[in-house]
Amino acid sequence: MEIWRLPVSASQRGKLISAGYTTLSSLSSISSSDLARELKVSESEALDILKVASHSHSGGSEMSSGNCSIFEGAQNAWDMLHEEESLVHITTSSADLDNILGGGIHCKEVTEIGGVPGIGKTQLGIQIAVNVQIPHDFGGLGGKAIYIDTEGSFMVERALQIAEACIEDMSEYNRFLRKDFQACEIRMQPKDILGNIFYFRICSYTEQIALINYLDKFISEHKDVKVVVVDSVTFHFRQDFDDMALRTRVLSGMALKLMKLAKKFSLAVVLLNQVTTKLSEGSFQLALALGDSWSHTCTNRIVLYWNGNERYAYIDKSPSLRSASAAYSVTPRGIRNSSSSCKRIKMM
Amino acid sequence: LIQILGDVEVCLQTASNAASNHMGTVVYLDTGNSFSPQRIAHFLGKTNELASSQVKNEILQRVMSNILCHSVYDIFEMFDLLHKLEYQLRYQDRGGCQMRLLIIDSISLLITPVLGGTSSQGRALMVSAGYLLKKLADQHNLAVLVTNHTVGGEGGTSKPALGESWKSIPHSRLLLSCDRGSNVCNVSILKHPSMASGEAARFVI
Repeated sequence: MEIWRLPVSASQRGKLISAGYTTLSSLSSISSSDLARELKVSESEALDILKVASHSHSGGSEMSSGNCSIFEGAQNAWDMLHEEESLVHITTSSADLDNILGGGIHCKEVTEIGGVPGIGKTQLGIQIAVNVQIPHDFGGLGGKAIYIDTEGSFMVERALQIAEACIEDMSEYNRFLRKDFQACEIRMQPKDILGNIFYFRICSYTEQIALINYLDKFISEHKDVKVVVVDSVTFHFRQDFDDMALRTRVLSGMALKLMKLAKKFSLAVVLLNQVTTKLSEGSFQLALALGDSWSHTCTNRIVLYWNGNERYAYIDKSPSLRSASAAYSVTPRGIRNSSSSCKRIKMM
Repeated sequence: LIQILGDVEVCLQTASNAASNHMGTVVYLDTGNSFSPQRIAHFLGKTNELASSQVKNEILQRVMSNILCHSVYDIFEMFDLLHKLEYQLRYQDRGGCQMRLLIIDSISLLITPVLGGTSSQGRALMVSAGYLLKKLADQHNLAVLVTNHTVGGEGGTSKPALGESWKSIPHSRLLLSCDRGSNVCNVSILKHPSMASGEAARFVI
């Protein structure tokens, strides 16, 4: 916007133009005392000019509304609270696990899940990719999933099993709820569920970074993607990296991009991580891989571990949930509660 | 300018305290999607336990609309926002609502992707971010709270990230540490203009 359209007096406008201020943006970074000196006017007059300039710069809405809108794009906590309450979580199909997670995997957040080999990380990843497609009527999101596979451990047969079990559970739930056999036709087929999982196979860390840069565009084209699962985020970064400082930089840059995706498209990002041993207080302990800097980047952290013969999940880090642990089990039908008596899937 | 090594929890608590006790606006720049309005509502509910639910709700709404949250995902975006903020603050000083606290959680996440390597540009960005924050704090009477993370130092101990040149920027630095297996935390002063360093206190989350 040009300066001559500014609603100030003609003499002030003349002074501004003769001093070289021709656009509004040239006024935006100057202080009132500097302007007063340059225009040879009083400081209060300069302040008035700047006020008018900022007023028209921001479309005139900001100052007149009278509240403390310091910058556009910021949300206040009150609005965010209501928004958060209306968000639907992605169930893990294990009621106990959902309980400690506060309803399931949260959208708009990056959740990291790690554990020793064979604990069921990939199973949980596939389960989430399937569960995100549970339609709205059943308390789900009705979205699609992106599955990024770096290790080659995604098994289509397994995904099919879990999808079939999920549909069976849904029809059972439907019967339970409505007691009406005509209306409870489930239109979803296992092959639809598999068709809604976008699968990427990644063979090097450069590919992984490139893909994550590309995801923004991909998701803009497929708006109903609601979860991105990376299995595992670690694999290529533990293979051939000499420069550890570079690794930290690349990883934190990647984490920020994932955060941005999660916020922008209101989707959940689930990263699976491996474990490593760490020397602390004189003894070796299991810890999630990729180091200390990485451990700060994720919003939530869930550690899976063995306790006797049972699998347990433990919330290691979360801004809103308390630390807690719950047992779960991996069954042919997917992730379920640990106690075999309670097999029914929790839907709401 | 205060730097805390550690936790989101402290930031959220500080934000809710500042907004409720001092009636000022709080701006929260969030890099890790870790701003949790639920948790803040929980804190506020705790402090006003005696009031009736009607009054409680009103307090909650008033306080929570004083906390503004903005997500930032790279350092240039942060600079852009801080410049805008500075510009807005200049006209706001005489107005009714005053901004009191700026929280950046966590600044180290923004800086690590650009820091290091062969070029010194990352360092320059880091230092100028530090000075911009100091300037804001000084000119507009703000408290600025930034969080940093820790990295493994020699012998398995942890030390604050971002290295030597960041060390000299904040006015005071606090280090949080947690005992394994309990929710008791330690806070110790690493640097402070008026208090002895090395003092420590314990608190419970």
